Amino acid sequence: MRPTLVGPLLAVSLAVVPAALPAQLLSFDARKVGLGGLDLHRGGALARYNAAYRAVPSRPDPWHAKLTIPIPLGILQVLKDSTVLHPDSPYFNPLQAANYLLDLPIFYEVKKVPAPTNDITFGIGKNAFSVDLGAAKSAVPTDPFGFGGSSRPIDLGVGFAGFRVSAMMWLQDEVDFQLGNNLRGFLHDAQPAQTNTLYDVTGTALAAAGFAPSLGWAGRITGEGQNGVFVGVTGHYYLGLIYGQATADGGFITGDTLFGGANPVTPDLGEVSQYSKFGNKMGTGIGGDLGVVWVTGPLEAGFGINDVGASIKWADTRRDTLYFDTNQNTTVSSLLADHVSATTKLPVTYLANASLDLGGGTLVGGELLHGARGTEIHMGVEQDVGPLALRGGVSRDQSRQIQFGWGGGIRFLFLSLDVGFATHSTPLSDQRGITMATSLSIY
Amino acid sequence: MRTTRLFSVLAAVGLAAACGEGHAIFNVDVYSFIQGSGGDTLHYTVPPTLGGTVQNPPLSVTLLPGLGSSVVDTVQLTGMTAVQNATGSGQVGFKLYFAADSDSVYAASNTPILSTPTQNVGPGVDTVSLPLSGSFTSAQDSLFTQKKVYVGVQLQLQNTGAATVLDGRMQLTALQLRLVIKDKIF
Repeated sequence: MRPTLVGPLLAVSLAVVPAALPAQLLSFDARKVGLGGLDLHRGGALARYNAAYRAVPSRPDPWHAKLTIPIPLGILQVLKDSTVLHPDSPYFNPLQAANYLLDLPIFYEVKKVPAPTNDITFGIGKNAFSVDLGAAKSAVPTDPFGFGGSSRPIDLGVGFAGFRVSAMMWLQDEVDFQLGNNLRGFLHDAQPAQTNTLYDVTGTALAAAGFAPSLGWAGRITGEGQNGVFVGVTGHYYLGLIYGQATADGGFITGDTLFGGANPVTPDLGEVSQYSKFGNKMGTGIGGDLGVVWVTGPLEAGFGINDVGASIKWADTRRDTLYFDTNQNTTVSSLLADHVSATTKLPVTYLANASLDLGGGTLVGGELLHGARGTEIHMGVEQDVGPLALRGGVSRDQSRQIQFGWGGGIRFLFLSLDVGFATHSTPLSDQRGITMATSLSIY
Repeated sequence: MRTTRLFSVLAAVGLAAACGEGHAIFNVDVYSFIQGSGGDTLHYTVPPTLGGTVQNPPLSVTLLPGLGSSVVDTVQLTGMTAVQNATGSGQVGFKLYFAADSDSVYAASNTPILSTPTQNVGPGVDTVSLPLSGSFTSAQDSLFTQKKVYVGVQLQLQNTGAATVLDGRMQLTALQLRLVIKDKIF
């Protein structure tokens, strides 16, 4: 099979897709979406990131839900647009398919980010090739880009006298890409392609999962009633069930002639992976969460930090290498080392929050959440009007874009139906799109 | 029949064009692909007092997959050819044809995309340059929404001499294609 430039460039084109994707929704909870991503009511992210909130007494709060269920109207939108997902369809659109894959549209897209008008110019000759992406070149990442973080999807435990014994499931994933200098210059700076030159993307990926038996304590240091200073500390003994990470460099090397030659490009792939399969000796490590909450009258402030010092040592891992053999025109894998150790670190996450009850059913607040991918800032206000709630908020996402949220809800007995609107952006447009989130909450 | 896949490579790069609405503009140095391959020259020999045509076998060019859902806005060709006459005297005209199938390239019903006025050459050794410039009509633009297009070069010749054979060759020295596609490629 004669390699062509199509495959590598297709991969590269898809590789730059994430930079053009809109920011993901902050939550499946329409109430939170309407507040600009803010957790204004105790519980949710506050309890997740701040170990002291367990000790803070409950307060009369008609909008503190036990359970929130998203109403995924966005799925209907995808089904309606499903022809773009089928490669055989004349409407097949790989960019849109990748968009759906990477940014699952749970909620309804009220207003899509307008596609900018942009001319792209290609210069093509037998030994010449250049691309001027116009304004779209801003979507070509010049810095490393990716996604990832850590999460705790399950955290079960029992408590007594401020103590809590629990076991949580933890997940970690990190994926990073960086365009090589030549490819970045070609796509971002419209530099002409060169013969006998490597155009590549480097990538690193890490995924790990396990559980952690934990022991924590949370309690009041001073104060009484609703007021006081509350602290919490939780120690985790991390047990890793499965782990894998890889560093790869993939791309292609142009031939003596860019087009029309017998061998226009030669694939180039090199990868080193290290992993510990499920059933191997478990990874081990210790770490902890700390938190403090101060409540005085209508004012409340807190700070919580997670996974402090959480290094996990994997005692029995295997290291492999994978490369593309140009002679055999196939990939070749081989063992580099077996039964070697590796160490991973869970990213430290912290949340600082504050809220103020202004009376008359008005609650305002703000929070700063710092994770593996940067810092988010959310501020919002909620106004109760009988069984109704009106909400508004503003946030700064991890890409430092200012976004807005607004919405409302209606409470009926132990249920509420909530709707929230949130703006989102792409690097290709200075206009925002709007997503409508809907959810049902049980109190 | 030779096949040139010069456009197929653009399919993947065209993904980038799907990032937004607008135009994808392709400036293709067609000459660079056929230079030195023999396709850039056409030899002619015409007996005295007679006329005729010489032409190359239709050249197959693979186009952008997926263009069927796009609108070809503009297709322009510019270039230069040199008629290098060796013996005799006469008139030479250059025509460039495009068609959806090879049989139709030189069919009488097919209008040339590009046609130059006839030029006098000779007598004897003489070189005449013929500038090439032409645009596709909207009907012809639709050729570029197909998977493949066939290209043919034809010389129209008339030997005006009474005794000497008109002999020489046409040498293409430049050929640029400008293709503007509106809307999205996919």
